[in-house]
Amino acid sequence: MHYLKFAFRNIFRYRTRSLVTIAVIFLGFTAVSAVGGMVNNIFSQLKAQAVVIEKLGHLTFAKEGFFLNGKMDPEAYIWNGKELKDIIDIIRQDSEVVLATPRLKLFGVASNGKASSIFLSEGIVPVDDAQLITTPIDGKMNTIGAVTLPQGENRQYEVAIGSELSAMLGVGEEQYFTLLTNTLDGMANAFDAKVAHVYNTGNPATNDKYVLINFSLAQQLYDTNGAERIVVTLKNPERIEEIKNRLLQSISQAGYNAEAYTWKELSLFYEKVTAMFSVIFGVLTIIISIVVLLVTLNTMLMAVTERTREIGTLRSLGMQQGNVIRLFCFEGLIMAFAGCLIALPVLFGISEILEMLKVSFIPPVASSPVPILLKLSPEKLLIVFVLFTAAAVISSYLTSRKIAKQKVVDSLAHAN
Amino acid sequence: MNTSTNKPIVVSLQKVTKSYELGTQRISALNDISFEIYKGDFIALSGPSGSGKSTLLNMVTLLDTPDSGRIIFAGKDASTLPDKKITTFRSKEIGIVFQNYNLIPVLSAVENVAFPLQLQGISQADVLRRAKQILDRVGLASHYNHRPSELSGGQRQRVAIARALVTEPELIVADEPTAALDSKTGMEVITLMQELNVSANTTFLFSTHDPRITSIVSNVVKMVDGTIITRNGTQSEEK
Repeated sequence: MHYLKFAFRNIFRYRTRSLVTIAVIFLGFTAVSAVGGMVNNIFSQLKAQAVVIEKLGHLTFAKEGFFLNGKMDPEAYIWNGKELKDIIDIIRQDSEVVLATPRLKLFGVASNGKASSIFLSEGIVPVDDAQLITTPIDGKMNTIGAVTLPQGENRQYEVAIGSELSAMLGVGEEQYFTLLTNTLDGMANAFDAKVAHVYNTGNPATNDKYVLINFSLAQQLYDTNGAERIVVTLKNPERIEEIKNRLLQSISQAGYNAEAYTWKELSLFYEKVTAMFSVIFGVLTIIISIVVLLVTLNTMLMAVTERTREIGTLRSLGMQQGNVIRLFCFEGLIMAFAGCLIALPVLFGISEILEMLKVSFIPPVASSPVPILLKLSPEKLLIVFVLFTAAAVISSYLTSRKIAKQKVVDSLAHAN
Repeated sequence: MNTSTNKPIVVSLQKVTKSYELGTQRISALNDISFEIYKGDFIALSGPSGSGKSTLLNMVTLLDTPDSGRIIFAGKDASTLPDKKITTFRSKEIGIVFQNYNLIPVLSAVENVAFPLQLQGISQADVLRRAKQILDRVGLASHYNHRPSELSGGQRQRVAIARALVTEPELIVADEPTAALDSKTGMEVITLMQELNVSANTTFLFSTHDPRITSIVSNVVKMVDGTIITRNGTQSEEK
């Protein structure tokens, strides 16, 4: 008789108790995996918000010291036209690079003629940006909420503005307002912008002041033919550190001093929000795992106690202590398998239902809603499966060990 | 080899004592027992409740260890062996029949009988063949696939005897094998054991309360208060 077959029969014999154990494992697995799937989805959406909507790409290159001192002395940290071309060429030569696009940041005052508000502005190359917003996030394209600027000649004065700034100035799409800024020399410069898009930046800190403008217009306003940053997207962002170092080395070999930051380092909210959700998810997983462990421990203890005399019989027939423990561990293993296996279609069902219902929420430190979906990752399902299987097997081991090791005569004398 | 009987000794208990704690009292279950069982013996152990019959059987089957004294199997003191070796030894050399049958409820009759052989790692085909042969011998040829819950008390005890026999052990020990059976079935079980003793020279040691059974067994050991008082109708040396 194989232990597995024997274990199966025992599980069927003690149906009620087995069902309780399987149900607890099923509920625990479903709960942890569902919450994990939701958190996964939130992380993915936040990543999309940072990489695509905030337009951070995967890597941002700038002159060394720019991120610390660039605001104090912008002129010193602008690459001129030749430098910009050289560095972009170096970056584009790398086989891992999908896109390298120049950027300029402007700030000043936006006005509708009656009311004014400060604005922050990013100068983008529309044709490059159209490519950036199609950057796949976790293997999937996520352009929800992403906007870019219209392409074509004579459209360089068209801009996209944050929805709160739009509301504050009372300007909507196809309407005009004025942006007042300085050149690098400190001379005042202004232009009338036409609103091409009103959009939510995804971040309340920028949604009331953000304006996307055409890169060539930003160059004109700054009176420069260069750029302060180069934003890069990659084929394999999971290798970001390796590629960053390689590119920095290539740029350095060409005689330029540059620094680079990843999108995680530049994102205003990603690390904070993911850290918060990771803590919540971690605590929840620990609590549920402890509950599963305690309940399975309890049911296994009842099963083992009830079967003490049977264990005595098995031992008297020649079954070694270790094999008695193994038999109960097999029972725990089978019940954990069953609980997790039943949970899988339920999880996929919940995932489908959420996708149909299109429920969303606004995460803290974000301004645009994130859809509530279950992003079930096979790796995480496997981790939860291993965790709960281990809990069931450990419960079986701990409870059967004591009885298996007691004197056979005491086990046989046990009153059921 | 015993010179008086010319039969080899299967097991020898030498000055075995055993006592138990019962609340604050210490109860002496076996008092300095010395006792031999020879190949082919068919011994009934009788005595009132609390006389030490079950304790003695637990010592012989190595299910329990003595406080002092030795239990000699094949020239070796088996009571001092580690648990793993005792378990292996017991599975090969001793067959046990319990008062309440102690069959594994999730296994069929043939699987119950086959179980001790499987623990020894014998091939599945051989295991089934031998298990069926033994079941045939105890008259249960038509009950191979019945679960214990589908068998009568007498049939269950036959399965238990078959399970004890299947490994062809040196000794079969039965603790009150007829206690849970009606008198007719009880006698049938004892008759079966006697037949197996005669036909295969299997050594049996069993305890019983039933005077009808002790009356048909020639080798009866009587116990009182943890001591053997008579053997084969003669006064024991220990008394």
